Amino acid sequence: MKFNGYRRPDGKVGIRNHVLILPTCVCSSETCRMVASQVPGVVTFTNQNGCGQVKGDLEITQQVLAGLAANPNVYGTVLIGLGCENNIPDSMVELIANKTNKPLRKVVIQEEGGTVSAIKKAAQHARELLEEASQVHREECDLSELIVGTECGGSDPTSGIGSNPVVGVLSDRLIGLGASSILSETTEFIGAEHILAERGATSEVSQAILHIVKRYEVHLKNVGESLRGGNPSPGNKAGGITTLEEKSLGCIHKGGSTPIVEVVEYSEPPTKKGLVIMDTPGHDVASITGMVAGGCQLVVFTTGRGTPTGNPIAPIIKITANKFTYQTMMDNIDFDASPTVEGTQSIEEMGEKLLTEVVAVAQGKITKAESFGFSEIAINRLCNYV
Amino acid sequence: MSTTVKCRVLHERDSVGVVLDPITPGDQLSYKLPGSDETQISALEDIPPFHKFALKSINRGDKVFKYGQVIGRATLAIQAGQHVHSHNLTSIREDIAE
Repeated sequence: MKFNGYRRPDGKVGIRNHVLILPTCVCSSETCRMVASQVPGVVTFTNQNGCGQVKGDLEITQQVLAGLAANPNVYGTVLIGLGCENNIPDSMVELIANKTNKPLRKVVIQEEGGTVSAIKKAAQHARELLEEASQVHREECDLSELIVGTECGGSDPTSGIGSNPVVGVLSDRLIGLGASSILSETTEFIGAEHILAERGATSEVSQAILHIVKRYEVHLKNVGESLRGGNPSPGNKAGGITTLEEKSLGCIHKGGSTPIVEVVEYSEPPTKKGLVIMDTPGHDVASITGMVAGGCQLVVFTTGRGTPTGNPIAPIIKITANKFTYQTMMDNIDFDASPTVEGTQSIEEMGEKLLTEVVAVAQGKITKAESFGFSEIAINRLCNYV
Repeated sequence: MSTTVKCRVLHERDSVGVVLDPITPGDQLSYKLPGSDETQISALEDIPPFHKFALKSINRGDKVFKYGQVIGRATLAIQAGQHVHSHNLTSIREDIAE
């Protein structure tokens, strides 16, 4: 199947054509915001990390930032650093250059002599990249170029019965067309990991699935915590989900029925085509950020309670199968899957309809979260700041 | 007067079903599994939409099944038609196994 996308110089295909203003650390994030306000049309976000982090945490931050800049939805990047942070701006430039040959400019606040000079220089870069980007046009590409991230948040029992199985059908259809789909949220495999492990394409994949679940539980235990009280959330419970097992058994329906070909670390790009598991937290925004940093161009996000979550780089299609939520949260929901819960439309029919919507969004149709300009990100962490 | 209300049961092994609308005591919760006749259970209490109800009596300590899988353990004896949620069902997996 074909669609119109943006072919990048590194060979990848984007579905949006963003200029990214990228903060290396928290200290340059406000400057990035001010640059973005000077040059409407660019995207940016607040980066809470990038300094005061242990080595392992800094590596996660760097992989995520480099991955976001390399995401095919990005035309080019203006990187803004402070100058004294752990995440050294030149190292960040190198990391991005190792992933992609797309346009990249660098501004360091301490080298420019403060906020005003840095904003002036970065705004000039941003304007130039925006002009260049405007001359890149969509061309016919194959749908197999797509990596679609799947996410659920603000779940209720309709997620497990309706919207997640619909996303599962979408995942199967995309994979049948040669594309890839990412199943995320390791904490929401707990209690259902035995089912996923049976679907590993190889015994190594099956072992890796069990390993990331165990590793998560041990990690929490090592800091004296457990999942109880954190997941399911109060909203999950008010909606009718009682236990984590119940939530997980609903959650994994997003992965459809194909074999799981690979397990990747948080923000790591898949190397295989098909259904891939990424080890992400149940924290929606951090999970989505990891998948987008791993190269996914579009996210399908199921919800029972209704959520506004957006992303600066990838469009997010919001789906509910809760007939009440679709009415009350229409500002935020793109796709109504509630007929599947009522039994008036089959999961397969609805999955086909969702595929049509995914192709429309891939070709430029704006999602609700995009229309509001929502651009939150969150980067996963191992431990306290130092 | 009792009302008949359509519900969902997801797997033949399940001990709970899911209601689709607000339920009041006396409502006849009706469901059909593939290859079986339609079954009705009388609701014993209020149940909010999309919450669970017991399909049969469940003993305290019994595993509870939904999606054909274990979703936790009953902390109280539960009668068919009762609401099943945090007050009578607890996770087995949320606390990390030793």
